[in-house]
Amino acid sequence: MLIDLVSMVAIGAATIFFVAGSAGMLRFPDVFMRLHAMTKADNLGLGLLIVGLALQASSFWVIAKLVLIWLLVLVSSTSASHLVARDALARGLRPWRNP
Amino acid sequence: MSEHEGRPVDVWWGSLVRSLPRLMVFALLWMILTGAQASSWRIGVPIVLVATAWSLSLVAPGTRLSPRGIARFVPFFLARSVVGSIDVARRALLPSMPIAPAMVRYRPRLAPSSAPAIFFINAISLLPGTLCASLEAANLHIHVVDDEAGVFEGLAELEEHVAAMFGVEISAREELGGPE
Repeated sequence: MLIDLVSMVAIGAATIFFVAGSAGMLRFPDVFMRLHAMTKADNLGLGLLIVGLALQASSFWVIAKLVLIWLLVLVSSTSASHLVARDALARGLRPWRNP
Repeated sequence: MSEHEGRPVDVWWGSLVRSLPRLMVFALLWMILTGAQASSWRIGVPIVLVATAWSLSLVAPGTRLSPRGIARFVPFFLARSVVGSIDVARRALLPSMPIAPAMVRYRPRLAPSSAPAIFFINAISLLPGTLCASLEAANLHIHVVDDEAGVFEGLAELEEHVAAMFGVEISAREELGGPE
């Protein structure tokens, strides 16, 4: 019962971070800020989602697989954001500054 | 490469022992992917062996991680990424959207393009308010959400954690970098 509750809270919190990541994607002024929103908010969102799902998992191996998925997404999102940012800089895009 | 002396058998045995950690990691990955079903090893054993051989030919064994360094890095990293995510989420959702982005440069102390340096660069993007944009020989160009102080402290601390985890020595904090 308690486990179900913790699980629900974790997954609920996860959706808030996914919503925040998407809000940043739409509201932030340039590509660099949007990358911040995607890499950070979504990583914690996915982490919480995985905590919520792991609590419902039937075996250790399912939990290990969920953690493995989280690690792979961490690695790919940080590499991808680095590549996008590097390319944007190479094309001469200047970061947005506060007016 | 350092074992030109010694009998061929010793050399062979030495490289076998040094490839064991990697073999264990791939075996563990296979168990995770298959849910540790005994019947899966008929395919798993050859695949794990091929993956180990392939991995050894791509990256020679040699990098040793310090268990104590890992034990310190993981909680540090988790705590900092929670802080970073809450910070960015807050800025994205608040109606006033408080951001003051800037580019800064940071002079890393880890040896350029070594495994720890690459790990450090990737970890930067997961930390609060920093995103590694490009790297040159001596400087990292880092985009920050808010150009408040504390960015360099955080980067230096992360770099020290990474160095401890890979068991490499880095110099003391001196001039860490500055605005672009």
